Amino acid sequence: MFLQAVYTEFIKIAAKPRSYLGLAAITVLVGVILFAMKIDGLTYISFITAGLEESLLFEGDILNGNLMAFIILQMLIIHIPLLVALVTGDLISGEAAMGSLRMLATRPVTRSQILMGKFTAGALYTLLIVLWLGLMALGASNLLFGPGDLMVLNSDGLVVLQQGDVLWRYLSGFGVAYLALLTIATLSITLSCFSDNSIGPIVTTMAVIILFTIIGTLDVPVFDAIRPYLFTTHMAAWRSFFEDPVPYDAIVESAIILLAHIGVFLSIALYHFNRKDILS
Amino acid sequence: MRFLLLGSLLLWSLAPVFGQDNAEQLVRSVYAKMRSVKSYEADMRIDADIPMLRMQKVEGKLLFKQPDKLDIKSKSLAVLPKQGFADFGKFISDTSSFTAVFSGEEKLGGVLTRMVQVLPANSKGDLILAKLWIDPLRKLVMRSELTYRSSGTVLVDYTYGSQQQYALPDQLRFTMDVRNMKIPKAMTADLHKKRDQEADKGKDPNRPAVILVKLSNYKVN
Repeated sequence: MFLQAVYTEFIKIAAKPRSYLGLAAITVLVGVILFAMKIDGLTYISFITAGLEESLLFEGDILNGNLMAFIILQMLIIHIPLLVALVTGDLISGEAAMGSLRMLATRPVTRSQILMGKFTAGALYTLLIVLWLGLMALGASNLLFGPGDLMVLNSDGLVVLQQGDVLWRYLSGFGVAYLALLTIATLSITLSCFSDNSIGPIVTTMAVIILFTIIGTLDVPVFDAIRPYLFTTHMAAWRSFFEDPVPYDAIVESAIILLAHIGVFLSIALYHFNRKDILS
Repeated sequence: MRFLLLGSLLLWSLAPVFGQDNAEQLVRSVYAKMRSVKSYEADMRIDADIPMLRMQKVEGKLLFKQPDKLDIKSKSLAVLPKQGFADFGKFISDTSSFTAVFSGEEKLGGVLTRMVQVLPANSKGDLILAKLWIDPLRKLVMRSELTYRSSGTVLVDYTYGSQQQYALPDQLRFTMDVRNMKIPKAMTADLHKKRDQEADKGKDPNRPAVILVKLSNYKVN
């Protein structure tokens, strides 16, 4: 029965045109970035390496598919939450707005099963977005630029990772990025339980992300105590897989905090949805 | 007595000229030894310790053809000094392009070397000054300190082994200053990172860059 609910919810997501906006936006954005890099990528890279190239000579292709994939990911991963929230923020409130939520609640499934079905379908959609982003970033970049060693740009310098040491980092990084996006999806589903229109939860989700990101970026001691517990602080944890050595402790800590947020958001959503007075 | 004093003064004033001749002769003999090899290839292993740049050891092949054609074949991204590798050989190949004078003696790794200062004739070139520590018996450069207008000073320490008869080193240790770079956090999307990894490891971010190049399995032509 639960699987049937998940399937039904996923079909509902697939039937909405807005669900394809995310996939289309990723495709166009990756295309634009790859085109720009193919034309003017060396200028972009030399802006970073100019200081080192005064005394050092880099032998080999710096501008390769692996670097392109990394640049695409770090450019897009900040914007992907909007594409996810656009769909998941509508899962409950959209039904409420259309007046179908009441009818849905009359089916022989518990409210918790309805919510969990929507959550699982939302999680599957988020996975699809991450997989598509990964396929476009890694596949298209390597096809166009060819493979090579990855030069990662960190705020404290450059890390060169050998070609054979890169794929597992990408796969692990996608895993953590998925966890971060699932946190966003869960937040928007939770907010969706409190609203009867689609726009509210989507805009509120983005507002929360912006607010938390600003708090996290402001180098002011007053926020030091809460900064480590904001989920936005851990949304870039996927990048840690591209450090040498990999800071596994920090990654595990980030994963725990993201999972804790998912748990808390889902509990709030379940509590409220089970007691919600569905009038439409 | 007056003649003796005059003679001493004359000899003293001519000393640099003789010294120059001998120093240039020594540099020429070193180059002649280097020139005896038309081309060579060798397996290469690069171990770089560069501030602001972390990378694993890189293996590859080094191919050289006289006078200064250097080619590196590696599956990995390799980092080498921009100057001080093959350009110096080309510079000393033209004996009219420099003036050389002895500047003392120094023991390097148990070997007594003659220090030679090489000044380029063309004052507008990139190389401003070269200091060489030459083993006069084996006619080998044991250390060089090359000062470039564009990139500062590159210190190279040479270790010789099986191919010393061709003046081909088994190991080169380059030490140089590299300009620090500051990458904006917004550009790296590294917004929440507070700690400096280099500082965490107790490394000085202003330390000079050291590149160790080990060469083996020479094929000399």
